[in-house]
Amino acid sequence: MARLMHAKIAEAEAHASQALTQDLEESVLFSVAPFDERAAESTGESNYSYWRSTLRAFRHNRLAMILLCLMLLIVLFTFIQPLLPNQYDPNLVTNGSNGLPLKNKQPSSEHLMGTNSIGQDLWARLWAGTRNSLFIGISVALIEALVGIVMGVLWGYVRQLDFLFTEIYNVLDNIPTTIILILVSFILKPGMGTIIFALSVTGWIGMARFVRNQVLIIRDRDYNVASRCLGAGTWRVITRNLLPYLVSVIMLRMALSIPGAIGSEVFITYIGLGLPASIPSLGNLINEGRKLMMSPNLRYQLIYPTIILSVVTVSFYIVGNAFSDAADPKNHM
Amino acid sequence: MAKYLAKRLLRSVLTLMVILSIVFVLVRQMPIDGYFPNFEKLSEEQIQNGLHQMGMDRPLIAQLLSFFGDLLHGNLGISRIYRTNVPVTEILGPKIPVSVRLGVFSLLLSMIVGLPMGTMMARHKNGLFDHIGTGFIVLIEAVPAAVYYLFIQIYGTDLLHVSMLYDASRPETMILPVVSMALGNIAYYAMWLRRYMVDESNKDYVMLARIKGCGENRIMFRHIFRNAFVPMAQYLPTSFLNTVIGSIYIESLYSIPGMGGLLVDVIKRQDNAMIQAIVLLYASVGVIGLLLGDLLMVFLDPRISFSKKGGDR
Amino acid sequence: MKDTILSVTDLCVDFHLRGKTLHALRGVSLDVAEGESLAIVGESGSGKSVLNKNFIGLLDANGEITGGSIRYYGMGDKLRSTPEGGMDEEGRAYVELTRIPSRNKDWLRIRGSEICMIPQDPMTSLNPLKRIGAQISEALLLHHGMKGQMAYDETIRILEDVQIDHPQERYRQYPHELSGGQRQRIVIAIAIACQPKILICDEPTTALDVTVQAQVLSLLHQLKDKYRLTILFITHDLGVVANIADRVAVMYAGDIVEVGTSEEIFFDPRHPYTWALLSSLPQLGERGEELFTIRGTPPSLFTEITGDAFAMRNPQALMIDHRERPPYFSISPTHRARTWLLDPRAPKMERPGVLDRIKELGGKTDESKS
Repeated sequence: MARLMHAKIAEAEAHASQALTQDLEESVLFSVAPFDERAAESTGESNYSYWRSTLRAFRHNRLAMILLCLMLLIVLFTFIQPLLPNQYDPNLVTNGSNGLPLKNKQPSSEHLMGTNSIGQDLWARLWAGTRNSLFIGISVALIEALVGIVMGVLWGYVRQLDFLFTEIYNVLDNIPTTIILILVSFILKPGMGTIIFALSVTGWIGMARFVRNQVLIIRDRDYNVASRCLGAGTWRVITRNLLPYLVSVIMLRMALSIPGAIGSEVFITYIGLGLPASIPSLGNLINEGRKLMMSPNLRYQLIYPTIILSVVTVSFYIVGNAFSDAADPKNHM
Repeated sequence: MAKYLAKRLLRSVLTLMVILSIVFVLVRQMPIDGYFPNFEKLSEEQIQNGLHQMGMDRPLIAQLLSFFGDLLHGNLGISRIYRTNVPVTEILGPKIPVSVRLGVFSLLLSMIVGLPMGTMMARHKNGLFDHIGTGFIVLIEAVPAAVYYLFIQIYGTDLLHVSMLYDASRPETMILPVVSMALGNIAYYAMWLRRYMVDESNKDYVMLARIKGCGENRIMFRHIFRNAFVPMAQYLPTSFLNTVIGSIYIESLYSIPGMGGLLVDVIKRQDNAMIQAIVLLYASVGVIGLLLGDLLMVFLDPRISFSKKGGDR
Repeated sequence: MKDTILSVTDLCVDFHLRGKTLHALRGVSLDVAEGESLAIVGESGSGKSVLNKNFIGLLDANGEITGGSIRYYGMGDKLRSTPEGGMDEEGRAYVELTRIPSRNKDWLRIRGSEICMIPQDPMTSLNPLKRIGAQISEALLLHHGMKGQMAYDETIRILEDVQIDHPQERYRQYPHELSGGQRQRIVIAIAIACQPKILICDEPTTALDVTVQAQVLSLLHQLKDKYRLTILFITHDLGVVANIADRVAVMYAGDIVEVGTSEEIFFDPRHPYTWALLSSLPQLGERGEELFTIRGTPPSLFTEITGDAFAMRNPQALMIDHRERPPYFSISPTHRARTWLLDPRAPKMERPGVLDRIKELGGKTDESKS
């Protein structure tokens, strides 16, 4: 074998000297080339940008892109819909030619999605409800994120607070959220504010705990220790080193707490502690539809709101997951 | 170990007391008119008398102390409204087995389906089965349970030709509630098991097992599964107990006479003793679940000991 | 030279990363003789680990062999009937490793029992939830069908072979109860239990304390004789190489730039990169003198490299180094290097004077080797 290899090398040598580039004189070719220090340094690969890679990875996920567009269209449409011509007021009871309310009218060109059991236009109520439900969901997600991040970062980063926060967490985490949800909704007056408050009261602690754990994991990582050694203050380390790392996971949690909040609103309405009927919401609509579900020809009143709700929640869920995957540097390849 | 357990138990009891106190105070914030069915017609004196009878005219602290005093003697109080003057324990007693039975069935179902599903999804990552499974998980996780339960009820009853309501004497009416309750857990177990197994499969010890000459199935079942199961184990008892104690929503949808449906009812009717008792039950379940979860972790993972938590991983 | 057990010819491996292609191996050729210990030296990213992963079919999922061959001669006729079996010009049966798909069952007959590897980090390479004994005897079960008392006795014997104290106790312990050096011995024991013909040691001492490094190296040396192993050391530490390797292959930017016996590489290096690598050995530093460092960074393997990959960082590079990839020039039957300096037309270049100090140190290396 060794002999064989040796022969191969000899052959290659011969071949190489024949094929030497013709455009330069041998003497030039075999002279020492000028050395460029900058060229030696610049050969490494370093045109990496975190956000550009994140965006590229996200755009790569076609399903998520489609759902994101769909989501934006729905959000936009909830605002555009009332401005369109020939729209009904969501709370207006339409009367028929005989002066009586048009109850449970099947979908038609007049009422795109029919009317509900007291004669209100379902199309108008659906979009108003979607707007309100989204408002609830987004508000809850923002409050949870804000309170949760601040508390979580303090909890994880300031060692003196750890004991206190951990005790609070242990207590709050052991009270079933449903009980708090029901109690708070019951004690306070029904309304948008109550629902948002009740949902945020139980949600922030989960976010705080989550942020705290992430902070703990990376607090003692070498690059943060290095930053501190270089004299960076606590605040700088938090904002420059910790938060960017947490962005992906926080966005994910926020994207997930929106469908969660919308779902909880449906539940609270179901047990009769939700928004009054004058404020349409997906929960209200689904609950009204549920009461009619025994008669198959009226099930459209349940199915339309359910479709919108499912599209919204699934979109948030998938887009949130896709973004979090894209923002994870491990997936930047 | 005994010392550790004693400490843990003491902490759990303290946690429970704090929870009960918070709920106790919250409950006392409910409007007074809710306690009297004919509030408008009552004179101020009658109301005061009524409150006195309930012991609610005393300072909050005194009420709280006597509540804990009674609790110490095993006295959970007497229902005033749900069923007038019947001890709470007597009301709850027969309801617990109903919820437990449903819960155990649905839990078995979710384990039997969820765990193999997660394992298979991890084993054939990015394959057809993984995609279908992920689609299922996304639907169950994203669409609120409050919504898909309804559809299971509507179309399931049509499909199986069973009654919409639960009937203890007809076991087939249990199918839909059990399946509904299981769906969430199936998705949850499958999702986390898959995720943990995929995480584990990138670890160095899996590489060594592969280098050793282990086949993929052996690696999945003999090496990865147990490692992936450990982080899940911590939450298993909690999820178990929560399932067993019943789903508020499902029990009221199918009119199942269990624990779950009761809570909403008694809160709306302001039956304080009942609320207190149910909260105690739920919170105990949570605390016990955490304790069991930690014990299970110690049992499964030799790196974690009672004396020092964590260990090096 | 003994019979070749593994023969790599013109191996090319690409990785697909962020939509770009990285040429990790650019035509690597290397023969490994049965029973030798060969060190593959290079800085991180030079492709030394990628090269070795090909031998056990564990190339990462985004990697792809785009050319060349790896012939494994250790199995005789065992896989003759499979598509990857073959017979070479000298009538020896081989297995063409590049032709076995990555998830194919045939790998299970090669991994472990024929070619085994000791991974880099012993701290994370053991299953944390399995007892030491079970992890070793699993290899015995897989490759020799050993069970029960027989497997236990054999495991204890292997534990003694890797010089672990109290083998019976260790058998029942979990990885987290052992120190790094002990875990490395366990990992070695697992590899030994497989009874491979070739043992690849991927940076076997990098993760260990300096005091333990020497022990592990001498252990490997003893095991090599006892189990008649062919050992491939992957390392960036020339110090490791000097003590235990019969031959050294120097890798740079996905290519072997020079290969020869230890003596040839240390005392008569020919490639400018080998010069630079040897010059930066801390052992050669003199008190008060600045240590030699190689300027610049290795070239990006995302781009096609023209000429000699090291030319950019080599102050003495020739014009032709920037234009034409050098072929191998042989210096002796065992020594060859890829550099234009060996072309008869090239000007005579003196190698750095500091390298003469290796000869002074050389006496020491030879002593510790025997």
